[in-house]
Amino acid sequence: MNTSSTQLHNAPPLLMGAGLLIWGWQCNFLLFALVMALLLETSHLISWRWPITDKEFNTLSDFSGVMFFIAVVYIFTNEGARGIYIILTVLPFILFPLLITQKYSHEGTMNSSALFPGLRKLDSSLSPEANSRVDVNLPYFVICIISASAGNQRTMLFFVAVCILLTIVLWSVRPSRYSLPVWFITLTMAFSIAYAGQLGLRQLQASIEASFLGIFDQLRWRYRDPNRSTTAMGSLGRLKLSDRIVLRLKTKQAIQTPILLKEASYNTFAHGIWNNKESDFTVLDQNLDKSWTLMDEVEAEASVTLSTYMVREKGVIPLPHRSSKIKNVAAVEIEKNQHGTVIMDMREGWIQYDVEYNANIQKELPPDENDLHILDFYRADIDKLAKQLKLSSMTDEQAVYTVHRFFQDNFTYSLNRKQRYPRGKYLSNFLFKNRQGHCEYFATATTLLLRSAGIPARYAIGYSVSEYSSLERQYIARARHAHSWALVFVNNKWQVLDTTPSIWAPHEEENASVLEPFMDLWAWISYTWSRWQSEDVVDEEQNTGFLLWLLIPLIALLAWRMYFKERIKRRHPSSLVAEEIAYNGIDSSFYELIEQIEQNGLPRHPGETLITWLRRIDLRIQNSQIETALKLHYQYRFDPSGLSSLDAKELQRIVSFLLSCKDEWLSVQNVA
Amino acid sequence: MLIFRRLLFKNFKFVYKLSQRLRYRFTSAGALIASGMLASGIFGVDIRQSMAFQIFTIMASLLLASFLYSLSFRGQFKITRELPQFGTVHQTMRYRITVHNLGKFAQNDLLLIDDLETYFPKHEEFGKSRDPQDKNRNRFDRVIGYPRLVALIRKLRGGTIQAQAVENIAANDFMELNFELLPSRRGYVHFSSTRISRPDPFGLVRAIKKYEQKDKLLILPKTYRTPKVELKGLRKYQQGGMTQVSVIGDSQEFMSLRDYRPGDPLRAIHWRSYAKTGTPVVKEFHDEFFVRQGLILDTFQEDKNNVVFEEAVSVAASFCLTLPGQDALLDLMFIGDQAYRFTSGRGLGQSENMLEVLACTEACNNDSFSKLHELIPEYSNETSGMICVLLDWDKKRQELIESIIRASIPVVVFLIIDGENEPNIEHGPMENHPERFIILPSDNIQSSLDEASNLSLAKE
Repeated sequence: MNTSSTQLHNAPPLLMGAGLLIWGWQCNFLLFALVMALLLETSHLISWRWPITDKEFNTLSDFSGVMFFIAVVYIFTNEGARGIYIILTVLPFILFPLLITQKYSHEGTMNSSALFPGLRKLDSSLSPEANSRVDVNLPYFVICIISASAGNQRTMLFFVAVCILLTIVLWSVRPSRYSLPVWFITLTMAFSIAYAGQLGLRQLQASIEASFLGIFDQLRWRYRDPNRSTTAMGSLGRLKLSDRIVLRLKTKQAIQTPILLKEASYNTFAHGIWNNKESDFTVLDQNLDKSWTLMDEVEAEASVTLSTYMVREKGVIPLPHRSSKIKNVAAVEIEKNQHGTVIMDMREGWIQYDVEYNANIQKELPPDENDLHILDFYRADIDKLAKQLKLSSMTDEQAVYTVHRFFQDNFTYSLNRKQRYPRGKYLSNFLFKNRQGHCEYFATATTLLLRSAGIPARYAIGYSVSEYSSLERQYIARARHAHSWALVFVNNKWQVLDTTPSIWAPHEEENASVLEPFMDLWAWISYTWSRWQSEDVVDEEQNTGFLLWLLIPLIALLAWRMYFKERIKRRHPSSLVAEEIAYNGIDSSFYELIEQIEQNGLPRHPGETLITWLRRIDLRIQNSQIETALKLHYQYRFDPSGLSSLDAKELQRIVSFLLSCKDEWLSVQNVA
Repeated sequence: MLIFRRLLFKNFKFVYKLSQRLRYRFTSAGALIASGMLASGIFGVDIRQSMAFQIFTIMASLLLASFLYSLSFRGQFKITRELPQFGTVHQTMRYRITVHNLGKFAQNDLLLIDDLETYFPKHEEFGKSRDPQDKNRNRFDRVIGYPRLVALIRKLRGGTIQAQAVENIAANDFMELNFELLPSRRGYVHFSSTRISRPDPFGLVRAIKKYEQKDKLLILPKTYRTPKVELKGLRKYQQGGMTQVSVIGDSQEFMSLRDYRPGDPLRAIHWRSYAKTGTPVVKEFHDEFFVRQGLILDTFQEDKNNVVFEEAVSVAASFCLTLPGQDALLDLMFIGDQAYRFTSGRGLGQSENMLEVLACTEACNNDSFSKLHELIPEYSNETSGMICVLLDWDKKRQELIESIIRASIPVVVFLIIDGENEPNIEHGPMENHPERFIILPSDNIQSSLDEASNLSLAKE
């Protein structure tokens, strides 16, 4: 069956212009849209048309394809997933050359092979679709209104405008068998349903988001609040954390024990939430060498290179304990609070920076009264335990050691919480009953227990890095490597005290997905790509710009397709034509005669036939001979059966004779 | 891998049927709106990011209204199809369909779609099929094979028919419409049904009434201008005369009258002499000597849709039209599910009958070449000359030709080769008669035959 007798209708006048204007209005390209609309609609007023060959349409279509590809790569790398709407917005620009060429072409349509390169080489006698013609007007119009929707100007006028334009389209394809009232009533009903439908969709999305957003939450990047951290203490069920790589760390030497990278520390605990009383961030001054000093007059003992993902332009960055300097980063601003939490203002996405640190700092900022604060709600339980451990009679070092041993010897690590406890009682249950929990329990209990013994302590959160990726040749931390520990002020220094049993890391490994290696590979590719395309990457890192080289063969291929291939193809038909002409008597000796006459100052006008020319110049003396020769020449040239051998000899004879005495009859002509 | 291919093939079947249904259902404008709906649906998933969801709802509502309209179509029609006797492959042929409007109302804006039977190939058939267009397709299409399947289905269907618009037909009136069929292969093409479709008020979706109209039409192979073949063969005695040759009919050459002997056929009685003498007298005829030529068509080909085989059938058909001469017979021999021998000439059978036979000849991929071999001694006594149209020049074919030559039957060999292959072929048993060994590249049959016509085959 072939129903192609119902070809796509022509777009009604002014429809395309209106579509473009709506796109321009919604996407803020009104000026461009106006020019484009004028160019299109002028075609109805003027009759100039150009002969555009199928090959030229193919080239133009390839050009639009390349433009689209470049736009996709550029916009995606700059904008990420959001880029899809930007690409949609610019689509009418990309396809406009194709449309305007079709509009001003003789044919008014183009071969479908222009849009589908796979059809270009097919034999149209065997595959009729290779020879079918398409009109891109209405498809372009639909693209325009969908592109306009990406402008996302939340106005009901857009709905109305689309309804009006579609009414024009439907009017142009309206079958004559239906009366106008039937048509209008049906149309009104359809638009009413559409209006109700779009309202329904809004509500549907709202209810879906309310119900299911939590499911996706763990797949999203988490934003760290420098002054507040809600723990999962008291939650029921198994804590599930994703395998997503959130941090990368490069060191000069291999690390022996896990490195703890602190994001923030807090001093006040109440009902499962740690927060900071008095957290004042101050902006750090940038040094002349474009580095930022976190601690003055500290010699660097070691340095690491860190990469982390910024959920927003400004956010908390993880740092090793006692970091002294941040460098090699094009940050706009860096702020630090009195608890050592650092906020960097840079951009969204992956960022990389070098950090110097020194574990042997002599003096640090002293604690304040908040670092000894225990909420009355917990005090009884905590003091009771401190008394049992006789912490008050020990030196600070002994107390710290005792607390560490207490948790190591009597507690187990667990991510599973099966029983619900009365609000606020989960900490006492952890300390005195089941003695199982995850790092937040250990860090919170340790902090509070040491405070009870009069030792200033804080609760710190961040990542424990120990996994080495042989693929990336650096250390990585996943979302499930998030960790918390206590910071304790002993000997005038803030020291790390991690009482969580060291079994926790292997325990977390059990959560690893079987797809982890593939996810890691993808993460590495997207990380490398994102690092390469970011403007702030320092020179030495741009060695990873090997991805750029991947584009070269691609561009070369496209260039070959668009230019060289066409050129090679062109050569073939010309040689074929040459053969064909040779077959049709191009070797006729009559041409020698023509050449001689032309050289004698009797040229042929462009487009003038031989017979008209010869009659015009009137060679008199040899006219009859020449006319006989011309007749034979025409027969040789255009009669499919050609010349008999006798006639060919006759033609040759006449031409030879005329050439031998050319001076005679040509001079007569010239005199005349 | 095989399981994957089978799974893919099943999916192809589904996709193909779905695409056909959609093509029937949607008008071009409807397809555009449906595509727009799909695209806006994808971009409008997150309604906060764009306003595409509004376009989606508008287009979906339009299509819904159109679809609801298409559910009822109350017109009543009677369709009559009038087909010619034959068609020729790759040549557009016309036929007529008459539509009677039996309803109470006039009908307009209808579309009449005449369908050929769609035969969906089996996985094995698909696996063996080759499409000449494949070399022009990209690697993905070649490996996945969907375009090849579509081409195969199109070929099996046998042709394309352009749908026709029925602009206005009054109640109880009728309209004659001329349809054009472009056959893409020889053999029978089967017409399955005729559909009348009516658009909805928006012109997006069609309501369809289907009328089962089974018909078949024979498509003959295309033919070429052939060289004059004058073999050196003798007029040979035909045992049993024309009666045996033709099964029906008789010799025309009267010799004498003689008395009736038991066993003589009744129709041989000369009634006038019987009336005069009172005893039965019968007519006696001359023994039959005449030229009888054989045309062997090689059908042994793996791929049933092979171009080379199609060309071989066309060449054989061309000889059927030009041979035999006025006083000669032509035996067409080939192997199908058994050995076939059809005779034409001297009033026995028309060349049209031969074309009909050839139109339905299929490639034979079993190993029964020996059957063709066996035909030669059987008919060697009565065959004056042999024309062989071969698809290959391998050992068994050369042996066949050798046996014909041994039987002193002059032979001409037409070897059809794939147009792309270089003809670097040794003459083998035809070494002594190179002028009778003619190679015909499949893409250049006519000019190769024309060149052959310049050779004087009859001169020895």
